[in-house]
Amino acid sequence: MLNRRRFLNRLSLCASAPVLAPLLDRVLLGAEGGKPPLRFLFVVEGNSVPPKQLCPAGIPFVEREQRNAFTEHSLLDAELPTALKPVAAYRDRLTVIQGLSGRMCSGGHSSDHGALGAYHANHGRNLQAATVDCVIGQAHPGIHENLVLGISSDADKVVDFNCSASGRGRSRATLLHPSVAYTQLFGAVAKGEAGAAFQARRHLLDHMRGDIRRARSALGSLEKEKMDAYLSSFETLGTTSQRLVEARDRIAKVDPGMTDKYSSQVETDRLDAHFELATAALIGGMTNCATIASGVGFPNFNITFTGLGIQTGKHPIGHALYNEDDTTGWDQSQKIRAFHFQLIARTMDKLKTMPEGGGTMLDNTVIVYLSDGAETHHSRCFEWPFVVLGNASGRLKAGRYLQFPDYGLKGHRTINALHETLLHLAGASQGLFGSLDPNLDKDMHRGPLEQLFV
Amino acid sequence: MKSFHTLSCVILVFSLCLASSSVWAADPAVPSFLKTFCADCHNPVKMKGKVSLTPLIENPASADPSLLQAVLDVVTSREMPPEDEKQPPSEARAAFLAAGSPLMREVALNRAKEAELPGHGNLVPHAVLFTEPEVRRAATPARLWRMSPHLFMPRANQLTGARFLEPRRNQGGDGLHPAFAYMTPPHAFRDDAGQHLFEEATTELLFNVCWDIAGLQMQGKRVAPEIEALLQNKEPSDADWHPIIRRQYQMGLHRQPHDTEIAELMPLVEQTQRDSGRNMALQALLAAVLMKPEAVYRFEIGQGTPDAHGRVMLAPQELKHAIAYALTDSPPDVSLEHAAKEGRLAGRDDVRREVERLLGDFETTSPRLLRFFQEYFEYTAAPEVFKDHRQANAIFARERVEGADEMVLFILERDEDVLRRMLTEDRVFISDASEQREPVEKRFRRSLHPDYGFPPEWIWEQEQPVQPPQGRRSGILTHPAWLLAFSDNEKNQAIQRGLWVQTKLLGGSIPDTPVGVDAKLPADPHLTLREKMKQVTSATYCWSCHQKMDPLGLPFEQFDDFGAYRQKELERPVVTTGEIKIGVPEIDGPVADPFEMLARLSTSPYVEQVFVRHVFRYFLGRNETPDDAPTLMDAHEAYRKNNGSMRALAASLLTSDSFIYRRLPETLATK
Repeated sequence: MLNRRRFLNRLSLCASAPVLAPLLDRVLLGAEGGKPPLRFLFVVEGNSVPPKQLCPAGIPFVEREQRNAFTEHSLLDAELPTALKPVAAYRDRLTVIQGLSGRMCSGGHSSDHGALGAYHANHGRNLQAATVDCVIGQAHPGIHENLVLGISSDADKVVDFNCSASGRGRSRATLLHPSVAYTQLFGAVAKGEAGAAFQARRHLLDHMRGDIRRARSALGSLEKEKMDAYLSSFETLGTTSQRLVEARDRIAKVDPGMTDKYSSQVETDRLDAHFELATAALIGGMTNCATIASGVGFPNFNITFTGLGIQTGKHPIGHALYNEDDTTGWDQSQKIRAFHFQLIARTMDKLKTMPEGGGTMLDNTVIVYLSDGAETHHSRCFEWPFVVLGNASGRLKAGRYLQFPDYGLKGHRTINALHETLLHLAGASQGLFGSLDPNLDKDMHRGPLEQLFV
Repeated sequence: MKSFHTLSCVILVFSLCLASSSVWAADPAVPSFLKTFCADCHNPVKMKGKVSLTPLIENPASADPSLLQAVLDVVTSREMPPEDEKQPPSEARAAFLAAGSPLMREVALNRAKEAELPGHGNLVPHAVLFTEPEVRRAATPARLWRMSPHLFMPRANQLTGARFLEPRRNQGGDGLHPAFAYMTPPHAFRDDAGQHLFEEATTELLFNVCWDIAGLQMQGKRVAPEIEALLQNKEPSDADWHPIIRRQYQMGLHRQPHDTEIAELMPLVEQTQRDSGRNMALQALLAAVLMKPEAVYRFEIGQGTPDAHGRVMLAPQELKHAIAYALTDSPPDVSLEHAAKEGRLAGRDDVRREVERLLGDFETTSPRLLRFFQEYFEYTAAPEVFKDHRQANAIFARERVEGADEMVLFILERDEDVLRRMLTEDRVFISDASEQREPVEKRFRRSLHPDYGFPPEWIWEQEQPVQPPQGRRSGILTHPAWLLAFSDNEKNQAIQRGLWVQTKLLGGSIPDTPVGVDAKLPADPHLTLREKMKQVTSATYCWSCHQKMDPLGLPFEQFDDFGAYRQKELERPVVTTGEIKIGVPEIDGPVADPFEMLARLSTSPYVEQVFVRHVFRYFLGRNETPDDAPTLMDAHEAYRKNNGSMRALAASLLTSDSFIYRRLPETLATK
């Protein structure tokens, strides 16, 4: 008689193995009493996060130039700043990290994939490697390796290539319309005519694979890369489609249902819908790594958050941040940031209701909030504030405000080290992630950041 | 020491002879030797001899080939390290030289590959491209060229019989579907054949949009008769599907299907009809044809027996598309279709006949020609520039772009001395303020008129272009659209302007900003931009690159960051001097202002040649190679002989060997 593990192993060797393998990984782990891979949600907000906006009252904000040594403060009793107030209930899972530099990304309005890649992408012209979210997604794929959703100041844009990269020179599309993203994620559970369409589309995918194979064969080695990529894309679509069918029951349970906000022109609605989709996708195992790119890239970070009663775009707000005579820009910026954390808190609430292992899905989820352009509107990346939510199944010592020494000083670390920390948590360590700042010691780039761990 | 040009030519030719496989496996001997015996003097701080070897140490395989060759030469000849410095043991010197040779091959190969990338075409030495080779053997590698979004737009509209995709002025929509997104880096021509392929994300978008188009083909009042007949037929036979397949092939691929191709589609029809019904089967069938590789890629493979140089001519079916898409965004017209079908598209004369016919129709071909100049000059980026010290609705960026477009079309229609006039035309097109409604008219007069050099109360003149009464202009590079596009929130982008002149008119190359450089101008409000730049870019390490940009961009300080002519900056006379210094006597030397600089550049044959190189890239969808020298030389000659005619230049390129011949990979050519 087969035990459960052998049965599952055999199943994974049968014809449907490529389709079922990622899902079976999760089942296998459960069968052995192990844990499924950590889930990750990256929230990248366009342009900058001024470090001061993440510093709680009662904890002295130290200007970068005065930070001589690593310091830490507890957040458990601190009064959180406006931006972080929405996640106050999760302060025991909250880590604020100040003082990491990212000079290898160069700076400006946007890092053009650099925030998650830790390299100078040169306005998107030089995507040196996969970004951290894609490395994690590729290591532990769900039905989709990654899910990248976002909003843009250009509300007509369906897709942008502005945040994540699946490999060298390969930007991963950011889906900007929640309705399009919904169809891709939940089309399989649609009924009636939509169900028939889903079936017809699956046949079409099968046909296209055969058609492209014939063309590729006729072309031989000519433009092999293009034909292979085209075929491989259809194979992936076919596989995804098959996985969606197999997981239909599970997906139906997390289907958030497409409401008016999915086709809204209002940016807060669209961002709200994207968070809802990302949360559903993480819970449903449709991906283990989702990224939300909120107005990432240049010039499309210039979103006007009319849904929050703000009539000024983020670009002029960025310029007004340091206006000493008028705090309007600063206040608006905090309000927008708080809205992001409000949506993050909602995701955490939802994850907390989902039992998993001996706890909840929230225990096995890490949420990373960062800006696309480091510390200030026209950034130079001497510091790059981060917020991490989650304790990674008890591995991270959360509830703290961490401040690293100033650029170049002993103990200083870069964003590479934080990204490597995340990879380490995901079991996809690279030792050294991203490219190096030539003005710093190599060791300052290395991860993981030991200060984050229990 | 060898001159840069000679050395570069040798390296490039050498690199073309290399096998495609990588030969250098990161031997640490080179960086180790340089670090130990050279870096003390040749580092970014000391810059002894104005040379830093840091890039070579950090990333040997991406080194500047001429620098690496120079280093190998001086180490071989024992000129370096100098006698009074620590000398390497003979084993270390031998190890360095042993590793240096394969590294040189790798570097040269990398440089050749880099020169193929969009935005890096200038890495091919100019002299090589305008020297008659021993053998004329120009050809483009056989290729699949992904359809551009500009080509997909009319196709989608034609198939659906509706305005499915269209540009929407002032609404951000450009009608370019993201499945065919341009992924080319900034400053390069967008439709590069080597750059685009369908990967997962764009394939999914393609799948969805083709599905949608197929659905729309089955709805509405303009449903094709073949489709309508099937929709009325409750139990269609196999044969009833064939007319639809033939029609969809004709619409999507502009040819008729073979019997086998029809047969290949029938299982899809049968299976889908069985599982999802007839209508879904029809939609799947229509979409399947639209996603065929041949429908989304332009096949340019050629046919016939390869000549002595391994070249074959494009087939008539390929030529009709190549010609149509080079000059228009539309599929081949009736004349091209007939010519291809009737065997009248089989040689260079046939191609010339069709190309000249199309170029003679300005209305048909001007959008593609205009797009060349938009992408070349890059003034269409003006609306993306953020300014917070003037309200966005008082900038009128789109009106500026339209004015620049009108100027380009005006010059193109006359088709004489095109480049010279693009660089020196002192008149402008400006919209009629009184056509704007209140209060827009007020803003228009108050803000845009002065930027163009007109007083606010100026009465619009119907006869355009018109010479601004205030200040002076000299072509597109002094046009308020271009000046705005190359500015930022608070200042002119003098460095980017200089980079534009260096790369687009002088054919130069500037490496990307080194990682770790903290390039920030001082904020002192009492300093002019020129003075701020001097504080930052004049350091030896920075100046090695900035000397190629700053003196070319600073003459445009004649204008403020909205493009208004000015004589004073910070209450002082504005300084507009600069210098051209590239080793071409006809243009080298100091300049007093942008007008002198542009006048000198506009009459230079060298600058014309650089311009021809860019036109080549646009029409051929790739960078030029040494084999293309005859094509470039002929095109330049045609341009000059025809009084600076853009049409003559385009006609020469589109009848060249580079355009009509394809070279198959060796493995296929020998089959």
